[in-house]
Order: sequence, then structure tokens, then C-alpha cells
Amino acid sequence: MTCLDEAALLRVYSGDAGDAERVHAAGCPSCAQALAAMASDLGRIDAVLREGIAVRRAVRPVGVRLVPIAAAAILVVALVLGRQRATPVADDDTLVMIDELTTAVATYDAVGVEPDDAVAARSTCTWGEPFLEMGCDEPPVTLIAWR
Amino acid sequence: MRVGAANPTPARSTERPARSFVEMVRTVAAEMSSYDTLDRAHRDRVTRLCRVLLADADEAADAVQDVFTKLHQSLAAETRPMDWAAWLTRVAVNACRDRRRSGWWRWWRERGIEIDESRLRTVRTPEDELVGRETQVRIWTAYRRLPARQREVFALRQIDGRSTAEVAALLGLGEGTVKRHLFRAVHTLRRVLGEAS
Repeated sequence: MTCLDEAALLRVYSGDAGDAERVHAAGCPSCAQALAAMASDLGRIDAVLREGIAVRRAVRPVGVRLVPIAAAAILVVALVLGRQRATPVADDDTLVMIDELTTAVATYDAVGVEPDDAVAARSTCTWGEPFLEMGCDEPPVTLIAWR
Repeated sequence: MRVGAANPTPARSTERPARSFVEMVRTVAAEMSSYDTLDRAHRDRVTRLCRVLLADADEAADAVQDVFTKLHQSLAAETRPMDWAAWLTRVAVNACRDRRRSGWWRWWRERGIEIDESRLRTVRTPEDELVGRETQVRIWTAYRRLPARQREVFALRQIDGRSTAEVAALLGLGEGTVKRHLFRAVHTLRRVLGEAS
């Protein structure tokens, strides 16, 4: 078996290695030495990390400290202004179109629509298709063309 | 013929010890689950874990406070975890994640942070080696730069002493992934240590 690489040595150190790797690490002087070096390194790292660390926060000038608050305030103002501008305002063309539409609907209502009974009486359709108004005797092609 | 109808006494005699055993278990469980007991048993461990995960003693103190506030709330709840140690570890990991996950706010805070060398003292390893300040700063700097997942795996595996399977369960990862993260973290830290020495 070839000598163990760093990943295999870590597995042996952590107790996650298989039998073959463990046996090799115990029997091979080179791997045993590498394992001892790894154990020493990890011992030092663990000791340092367990000790904990103190960090120092740089004292920023008041102007710099207020940057996040200022940014948030600007964002809020921009949102409020943006919403106000987004309110739809009808221009002249739209108003004219709405006016015409209203007039057309009102006229239609005033004239009225034929009662359903009158349409049904004129229709030759046996199942009474009042919307076609011209009966069901017409061939479909004619109907489609007329439409 | 009804079995046991003629002599109901033995049945009653077997019931009583069973009931008292259940009561005894409940009493022991309640004792083990009391806030003071859990605080005494786990505070040091949780504090150490949070310090390593956050690499910042002040932030860690706040995270530990959050963890034990949640413990207090959980003790008042109807359902309680079976394994308080694992529960506390999971809550501690999540509390540290929440503190690290504040996006640009974190970026803003971290910009002004540096390791306070004046408060570092010489560290003695279990093998009685001494680790100087410069090496400590290098190790901490490298550790702080590790990706969050590698930090968590390293802290739980090496510092908290959890097994690979436990770390995988705690972090919701596969065992192979845990081993890979651990290897990358160890490789980076050893390289830095090698450069330092």
C-alpha cells in the first residue's frame, strides 16, 4: 500500500479511517511521522481557537456611522415619491375616449334591445339561437363569411 | 372462566412498582431538565462553541444569551427535546448563523474589525508547546476567512468533539460532505501554520 495522503491521515487522526488505512499508518514510519506532525499542528490550532479571541472595532466618525441610516432614509423617501408619481393620470385623449364610450353605452341603453321573444319568433333555428338572428338554415361557411 | 378473576392481588402488586418507576424517571428527567442544571452543564461548552463559530467574543456573548433565552422558553413548552446537549448545540449553531447572515450590515460591521493583539496571551498546547501571538493572529485570521460551512464543521468536529455522524446530523449534511469540509479547513489552517513556523 502506498503512503497515505493528507486526507487519509486526517481520517486516521479523526477515527474515520478504515482498517487498511489504520494498519498502514501504524506500520509505516513515514506515515506515522506525518500523522504525528498533523496531530501536533491540530493540537496547536485547537489550543489557539479554544482560547478565544478578542476583536477591536474601529471607531468610525459620526458622519460615517450615519451612512446606513442616511441610505435607509433616502430609500424610504425615494419609495414614497415613486409611489406618488406612479398614480395614473388620464390625459386628454383618454378623457375623450371615455366620454365617447359613455355616450355610446347610454345611447344603446336608451334605444333598447329587442326582447328575446321577438328574436326567437323570427329565428328558424329549432334550438333558438337568438344571437345569430338569421337562423340555423344558413350553411356554416356563409355564416363564417358573414361574420 | 376469566383468567385472574379469582385472585386479582398479584396483578395489583405488579402495577405499583411500575408506576413508581415511571414517577422516578419523571422526577429524574425533571431534575435533569431544570434550567440551572442545564445552564451549569452546558454554558461553558456553548460559549466556547459560539466564540469559535463567530470568532468574536462580544458577538458570541450575545449569541449565548439568545441560546439560553430559547432554552428558558423551551423548558416552559409542552414538548421537550430528548437530548438537551444536541438541542443546545443546534440552537447555538443557528444563533451564530443568524448573526452572520445579516448581509450588507455584516459587511459594514466587519470592515472595522481587527484582532486585538494586546489581549492575546501566550497559548500552551496540550503537548506543552507555546504558541506566540503572531502565530495566533495568523491562525485566527485564516480561520475567520474560512467559508461558514467549513468553520461550522471544524468547530463541531475538532473543538466540540462531535463525531462525523453527529456533525452530519446537526448540520443536515452527508458524512462525506462533512469529511470534505473538515479536510479543506484543516488543510488551509495547517498551511497557514506551516507558513508561520
